[in-house]
Amino acid sequence: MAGTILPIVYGERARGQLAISVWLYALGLLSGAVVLGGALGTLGSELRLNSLLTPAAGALVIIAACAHLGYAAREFELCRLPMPQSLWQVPRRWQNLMSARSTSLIYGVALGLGVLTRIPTSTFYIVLVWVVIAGNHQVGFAVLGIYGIGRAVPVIALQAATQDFEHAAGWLERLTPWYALMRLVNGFVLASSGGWLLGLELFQGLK
Amino acid sequence: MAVHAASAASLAQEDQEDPVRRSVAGPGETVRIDEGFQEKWSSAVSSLKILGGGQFPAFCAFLKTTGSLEIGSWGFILFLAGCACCAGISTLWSP
Repeated sequence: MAGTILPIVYGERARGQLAISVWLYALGLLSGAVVLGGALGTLGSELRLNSLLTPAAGALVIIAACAHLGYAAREFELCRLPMPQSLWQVPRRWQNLMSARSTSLIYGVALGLGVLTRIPTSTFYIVLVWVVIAGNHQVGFAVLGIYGIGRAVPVIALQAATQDFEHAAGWLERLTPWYALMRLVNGFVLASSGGWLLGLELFQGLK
Repeated sequence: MAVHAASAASLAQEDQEDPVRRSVAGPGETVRIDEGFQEKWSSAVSSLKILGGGQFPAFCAFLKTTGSLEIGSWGFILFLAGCACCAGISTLWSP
């Protein structure tokens, strides 16, 4: 996505305008993510799934822990697990229909929603499921808000560190091999949280 | 010397019983296991035993101090926030 938003930012700079597109994009990401979080939290509160997580519902926690550990194994490329997702990409033609700043904001909202486009790591699924189980829109706002910030920060940093798209493309190319490391980090997060859940269930139990 | 002969005989017998060892060593030869390696292996096994027998209960005790998985607790939200942050940053590699 950085390849779509960054040319807009460099275009603004080239025209001598204040480069606020990237901030509008970040605002859009945050808004989209928060809307998703609120919607999932509200859905969860309607479904009352958290009432299932009683101390007697040990099997559910063990299933959740196994899902964490299974997707951790997927991130470590030890197995293949299904990851249902949309392969839609935000259309470039939107740039011709709207101003650069409006496009940046709309791109941000569409991508911030997270579920409309490709999902690169399975950690996101775990987050979505737990936000629904939590059944609290405030938890949804906070958690998905952090997801939105996590999406925005690398793009903001990249545009601040580069002057033109060629420079940025060089950076993106250098970052490509680090994807494997990012997947390892995701795998460790999932493995540790899965282990935590399993440990809580086996040695302490839920409150 | 007698002990050495006995070990050689024992190894030769193992050669016959263990097809892998026999294929590596060849007929009539013996495989010498480096004593240094044996020591390191024993040490590693001991460490694993300590980890399983001593550290694991400590790890469990640590889990108990981290608080329960109470929905809406700070621990729960921090755990979700960590996952969300990783998921967000990972999208940099998304097309």
